[in-house]
Amino acid sequence: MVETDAQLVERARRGDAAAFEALVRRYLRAAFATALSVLAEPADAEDVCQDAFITALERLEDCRNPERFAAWLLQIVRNRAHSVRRYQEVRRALPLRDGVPVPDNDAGPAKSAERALLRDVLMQELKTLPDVYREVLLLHDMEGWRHREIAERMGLPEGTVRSHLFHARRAMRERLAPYHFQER
Amino acid sequence: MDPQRLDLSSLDPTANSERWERLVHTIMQRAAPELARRAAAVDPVGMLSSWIRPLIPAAAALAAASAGLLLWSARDGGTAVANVPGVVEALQIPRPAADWLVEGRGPSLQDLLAALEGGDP
Repeated sequence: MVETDAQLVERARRGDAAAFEALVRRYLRAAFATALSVLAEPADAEDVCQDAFITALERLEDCRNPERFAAWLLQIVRNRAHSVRRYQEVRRALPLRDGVPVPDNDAGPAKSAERALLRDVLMQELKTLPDVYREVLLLHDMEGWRHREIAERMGLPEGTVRSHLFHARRAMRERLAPYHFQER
Repeated sequence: MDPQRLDLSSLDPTANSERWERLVHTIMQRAAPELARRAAAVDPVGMLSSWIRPLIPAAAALAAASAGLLLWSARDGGTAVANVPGVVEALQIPRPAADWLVEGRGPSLQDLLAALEGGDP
C-alpha cells in the first residue's frame, strides 16, 4: 500500500530515513521542475533541490498540514530558487568562466549532443515566459501533474492553471517553430 | 497521452538515471545527521542522553558552588575552633573529654586511665 504524504512526514519527523527517501523520490522531479522554472541551469536547479529538501527536513515541524507537504516543499524550493537567482543577478556583473557541460551518460555522444542542443533551446525559450507559466508548464508537461494537483500545490484556482498552461504552450510553440523540432 | 503536451523530455532530469540516483544519494547523505538527531530524540536512550546533556552544566555549577562554600568555611575555620569551648559548655560534656575537645587533641593513655578513675587528667 502506498503511504500518504502525512504518514511519510510523520515517520520522517521521527528520523526514519526510508520515509524521508520516499518523500525525496516522490517529489524530487516536481521540485526540480519548480526550481528549473526559476533558474535557467539544470545544475543550479539540482543544487536548489538539495538545499530545499534539507531545509524541509530541518523544519518538518513547521509543516502544519503534512497532507499538503508537496505545496509546502515547493514553496521552499521556489523561495530558495528566487534567492539563488537574485544572487546570480548580482554576480552577473562579474566575469565568469563558462560552466562545464555535464555529460549525458545514458546516451551516445551524438544523441547526447542533440539532446543538449534541444535542452539549451528549450531553456532559452522557457526563460522568456513569465515564472508562473514556466512552472505550470514544467509541472504539467514534464512532471506529469494534473491541473488539480498543480492548482492545489501552487495555491491557484484550477481554471487559472488551465489558462496559464494554454498560454505557455502557445507561446512556446510560436518560439520553437523556427527550430523545426519534432514533437511527439 | 495529452496531444497538446509539449515534448520537454530533453529537460527530464531522470533521463540520466545515474545522475539522478546520485542526486538522491547526495540528498540522503546530507540529510543523515538531521535524521540521526531526530531518531536519537525518539529513542529512549537518546531521550535520556538528551536530558543528561543539560544536567551536566547544572551539576558542574553545583560542584563549583559547593567548592566555593567549602573554601569559605575553611577560611572561617578559626572562628569555628574559637567557639568550641562555648559548645562544650552548652552540651555539658564531662570535664576530661571537654578538655580534649577544647585543646583539639586526642586522649593519651594517662588521660584515659585518669578518666576511668574519675579524676582530672
